[in-house]
Amino acid sequence: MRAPGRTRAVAAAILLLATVLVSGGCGTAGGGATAAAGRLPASDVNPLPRDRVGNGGTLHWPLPEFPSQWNFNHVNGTRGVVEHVIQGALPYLMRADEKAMPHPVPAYLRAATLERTEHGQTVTYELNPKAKWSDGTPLGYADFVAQAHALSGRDPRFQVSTVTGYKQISRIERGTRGNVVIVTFDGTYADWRSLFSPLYPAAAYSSPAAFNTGWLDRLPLTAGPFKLQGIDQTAKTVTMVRDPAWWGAPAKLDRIVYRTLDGSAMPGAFANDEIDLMDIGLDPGALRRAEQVPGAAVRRAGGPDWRHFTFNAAGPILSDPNVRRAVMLGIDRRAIARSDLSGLGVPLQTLGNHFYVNTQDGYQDNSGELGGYDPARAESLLEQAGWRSHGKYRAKGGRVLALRFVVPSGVPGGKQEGELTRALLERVGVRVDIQLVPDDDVFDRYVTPGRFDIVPFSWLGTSFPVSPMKSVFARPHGDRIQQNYSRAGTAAIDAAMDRAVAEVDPARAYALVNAADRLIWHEAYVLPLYQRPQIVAARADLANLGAGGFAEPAYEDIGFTGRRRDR
Amino acid sequence: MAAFLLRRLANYAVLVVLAASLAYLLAAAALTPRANYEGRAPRPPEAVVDAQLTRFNLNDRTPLAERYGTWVAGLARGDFGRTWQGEPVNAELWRRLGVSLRLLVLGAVLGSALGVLAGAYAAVRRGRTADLLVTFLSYLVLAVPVFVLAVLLQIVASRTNQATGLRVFEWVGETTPGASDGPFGALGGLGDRVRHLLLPTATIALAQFALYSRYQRSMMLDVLQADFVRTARAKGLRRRDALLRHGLRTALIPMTTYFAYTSGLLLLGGMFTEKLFGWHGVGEWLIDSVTRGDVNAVAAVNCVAAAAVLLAGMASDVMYGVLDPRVRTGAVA
Repeated sequence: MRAPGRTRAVAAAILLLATVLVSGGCGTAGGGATAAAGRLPASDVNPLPRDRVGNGGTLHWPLPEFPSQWNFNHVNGTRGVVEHVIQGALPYLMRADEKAMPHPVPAYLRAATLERTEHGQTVTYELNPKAKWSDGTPLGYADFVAQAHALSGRDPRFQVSTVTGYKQISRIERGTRGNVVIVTFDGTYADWRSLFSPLYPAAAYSSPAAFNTGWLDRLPLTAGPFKLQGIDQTAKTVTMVRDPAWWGAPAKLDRIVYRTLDGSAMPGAFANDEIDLMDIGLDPGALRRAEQVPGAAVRRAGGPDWRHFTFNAAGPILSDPNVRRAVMLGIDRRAIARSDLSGLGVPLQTLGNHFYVNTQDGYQDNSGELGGYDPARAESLLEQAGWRSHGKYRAKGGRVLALRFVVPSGVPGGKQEGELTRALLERVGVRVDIQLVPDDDVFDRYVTPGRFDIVPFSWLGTSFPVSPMKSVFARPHGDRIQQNYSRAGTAAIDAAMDRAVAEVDPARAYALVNAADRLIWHEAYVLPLYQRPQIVAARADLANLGAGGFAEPAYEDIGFTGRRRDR
Repeated sequence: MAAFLLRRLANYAVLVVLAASLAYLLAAAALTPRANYEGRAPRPPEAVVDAQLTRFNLNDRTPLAERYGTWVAGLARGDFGRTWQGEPVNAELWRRLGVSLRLLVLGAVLGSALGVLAGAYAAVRRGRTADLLVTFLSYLVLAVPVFVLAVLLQIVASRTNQATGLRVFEWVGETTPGASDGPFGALGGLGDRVRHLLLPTATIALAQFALYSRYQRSMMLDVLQADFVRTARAKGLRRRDALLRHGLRTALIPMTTYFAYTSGLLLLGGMFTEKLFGWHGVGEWLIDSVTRGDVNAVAAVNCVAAAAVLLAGMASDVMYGVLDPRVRTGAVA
């Protein structure tokens, strides 16, 4: 379950299994809006200029779980819930817009310029001289040095969640003026904009002990529009208040109260005005309950995550690329999307890219022929591959064309996808055997060891998709498949992704990523289905927050337009 | 009686140790906290994950016997270890036990007292309207799962709140953050607590009521025909006194066992109520810890549950002594 607004790179592509929460049985019975026309907007947050947002009020924001590690770069802290809180209190030098393009946040960063050098790149950060920590020290060189060292992976005592990017930093220098920091990289790193967001104070990262335990149940230093008022361990709430020391435009809200709530408690709490927004996920039941609440608005946008089928290219049947292509052509992606997204009032759009989602900058539909539904072409491909009709199904050399479709049993949507796929592929003579397996076993016992032919799940997308997705599409080395559950890939794809990762110019990077994507489509081992919508119910008078797509909210601008809320 | 209780206590102590050990071994063998790190991309460095897991005695690459040894050594000092996030289990356990007790006690007491009374009344009025009504009600509630009952109550409450324009009912959490800072101070905080208690208490009380009224009714029916009740009436006691003093008291004896054991389980059975009403008690913790593979937390909750059930058994033994003179005199003799 993910709450709105979170998009940052590092938490990245965690496998998301329990995704399509179509409540069994009443999925289609609800009627009402099934699919809206057009396309999903990149963001839907009720954007309003600051002068139209009222001053004051308390925002009640639910969290699906209660974190105790508030150091985002600690291995236990890299989580969406942590970000929801610290984004309002810690410096983010860059913030993505709704199309996933990162921009400097002027309160912290005036400009960042990149220069290619002979052996790599140099980034010059010009910080806002007014930016300072809550203890009065200005943001700057010392913080950069401490963070780069802690996250470089050179000292194993720092329990970091990732070293990507930071391990390439070779030198950090002071600029001629006090607020300029110059960071030199070994080699090029295209996603450099993801670094130092969030930035932690030097004291927090100066020693392994401070790094690992200094932010347990505490936010000792902040530098943002909000600061911590208190963490209540019994009620599992976190209260943030407007920080008068903040040098930027003052926060509109007096307070943000984060409450930990189980997903099952959210619709009731939202209806009774005890929380002000709620992530609907893909649950039409929750959507219907939210729609009945007076004074509530449902906000919908394209989210960063995408649903897909992974094909096992090491399996006995799908090892033939032509059979994989035939199976793709025999699957009507629109029919599956329509079933998964029914009752949610979102437009139907299939996804034609393995790196970018529809609303993201750089997106391009590279699916070509394989993106369409063409059973006739599928049949001719199967014929060519030697699979001839024997009664209902095709067979070759005494082997029936049958595919194992592995579905976690706790996810009703997955089962529907399996049944649709079975019905669709039966038309071209392919038998699909749906295998319901316990949720916990899906990856351990079926997908990772390769005991499947097709498996549906979602990838969590990010603003910086290429480096995380490399582990999904790169050729496996023997048993080390990383996340390439298809066990497919080519040298050309690896090279294309390496080129894309090394390119620092956005326009050229988009072209290189799309070139890699076309090669992946051609190999036909992962079939993208659709970009998952982000559906958030919120008070109608809540401004500048909701379904942000890739956008990360500016916390000081969040507020209510209606009557003041003191509750 | 003291010797009898001591013997019982010794038995129970052995049982608790066994139950706790089994609970730990099962949790440690079945749960994989490592999975919390494995699904991530980029995956955290292997060495970091191993160090982290080893530090909290959660590493599945350490032999089970060794992990069990570490756990027992900690437990001998009264330390249940750490959660996978690195927080002490003990502090969280006490905090959550407190929450669960505050959530459950009122509902359980109310539900069982009303259930016993209604059951007894129904038995006395067997076959009449009152009996039919109690029977119908309790079957209705028994047939509805707790999470449906809670949602139904929430819907009714939300209608009431909207109709009256007042916030009579609140349903998430124990308190509204900052309730005591209002104009009424601590009193406002108390009122806020009460409003938060209304719905979950009703949910728990209804479920308990339904169960106990059924049991008590059948117990009471057995007793009503018994000789000693007839004797009591023959001695000249009024029907009401005979039923209350002799009938109900006797019929309560087998119920004490039932009370005792269900109250131990009630603590864990509150998980649905806790989740639906956003109270962060022990039941919720158990479910969440199982899904997160948090071995030490699961083992601690199981340990406490085992102790609670056995303590309840002790309590029931004592209650027997109080209610049944034969146990007392037997022990003296």
